[in-house]
Amino acid sequence: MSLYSKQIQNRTMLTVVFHEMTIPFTVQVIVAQPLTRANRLVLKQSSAIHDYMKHIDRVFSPFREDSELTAFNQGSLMFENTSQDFQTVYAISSWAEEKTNHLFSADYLGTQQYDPTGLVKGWAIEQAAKHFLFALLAEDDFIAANLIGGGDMQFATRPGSDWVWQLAIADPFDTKKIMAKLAMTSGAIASSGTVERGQHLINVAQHRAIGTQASDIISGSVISDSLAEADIWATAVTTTSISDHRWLKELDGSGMRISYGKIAERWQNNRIVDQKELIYA
Amino acid sequence: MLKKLTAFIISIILAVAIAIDGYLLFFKKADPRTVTTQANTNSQAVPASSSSVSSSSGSSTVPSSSGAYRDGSYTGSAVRIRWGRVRVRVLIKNGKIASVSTLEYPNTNPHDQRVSQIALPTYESESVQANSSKIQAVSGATETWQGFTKSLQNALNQSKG
Repeated sequence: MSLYSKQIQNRTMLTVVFHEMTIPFTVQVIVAQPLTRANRLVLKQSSAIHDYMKHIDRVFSPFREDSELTAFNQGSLMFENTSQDFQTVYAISSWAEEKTNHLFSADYLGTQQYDPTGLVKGWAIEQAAKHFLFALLAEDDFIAANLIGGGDMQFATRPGSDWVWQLAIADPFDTKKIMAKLAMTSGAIASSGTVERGQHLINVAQHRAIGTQASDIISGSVISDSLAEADIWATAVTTTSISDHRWLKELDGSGMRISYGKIAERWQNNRIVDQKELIYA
Repeated sequence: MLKKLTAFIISIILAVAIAIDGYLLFFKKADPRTVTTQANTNSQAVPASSSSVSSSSGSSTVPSSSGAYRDGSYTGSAVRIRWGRVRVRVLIKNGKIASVSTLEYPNTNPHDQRVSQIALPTYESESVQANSSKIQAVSGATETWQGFTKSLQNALNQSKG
């Protein structure tokens, strides 16, 4: 685990990068001044987050023969005997299916194989950020922290500080570029789409792959105060077309979507703010 | 002899009662995955701790032994999520998950409500390279570790500010 340090205005940003479950994680911590004690604490907490992600993989990996998820799907592990983490995720996924009117589904291709992959990452990042990273903000000199995993993030700023995170949303047509910016102190952003892995999302409610027609969504980003919630909704709003807004009344916070036809839209507080063609995308 | 017979009859009655209970449970929840139930409408299924809703261990009823799972209704322990507390009830019938319902406990603590300001993203006037001194993090659809070395986030991480 290596640590980068750089100056931003008159603050120091410490960055640690690691990967687990093929997902790249970036830990960012803003401190008032460079201190070896800060470096040591950030490395220690990053290591704790890495261990936590290994634990999450052991519980929820659909690819591991020895995971709780595999045992549950094979019928060798009863629901009542699953761990608290498993039951928590199960509760959230069943709640999410109802809340999103089944735009989000944890039922793998309708086969009764439970697959919570669509929310485990966001939920785990939120848990890890709150337990291992934001605890640092109680320390003197620690101003703000952000945990990013595969393009989703949960961040916080110490109350009373004037620090504001400057964040961006990637352009799905050219991920080397950004298409939107936002400034926030605390919250979460999740993005969903078909860009990076080049594989299709499946809309389980309709048992069809997401199309690549002009009206289909190439990328959707949801901004919330909870990454678990943002991750669920990013998946959900990406499964509908750019003209379908049945989900809007249930989704608090803000966000944006872009269709393959390069129509972009933004929403906030349950209403569409604007929709326009991105001629430069 | 009479004692043995009485015990036998009681066990038969119990077994029948358990079977009926299971049948009723199944019937009530015959439509899988469409049920949003409030705690009060399911009070018979929620253990007595439902008003305090502290974390309690799962309870199960109606054990039987067909299929991959044991048939029955399993109520998970209450978990606290941002929206309040949620408890899941899973009904197993013929060894398969017949229905899943969540019992919701609305959030009554004002301190648990959202407090942060959710910003609205602003379009860049044109799609641009991130200026590393002005942007700390980029959200985008899932990137793999293999793709990360070429990503914008990796460039921001490595930049000297």
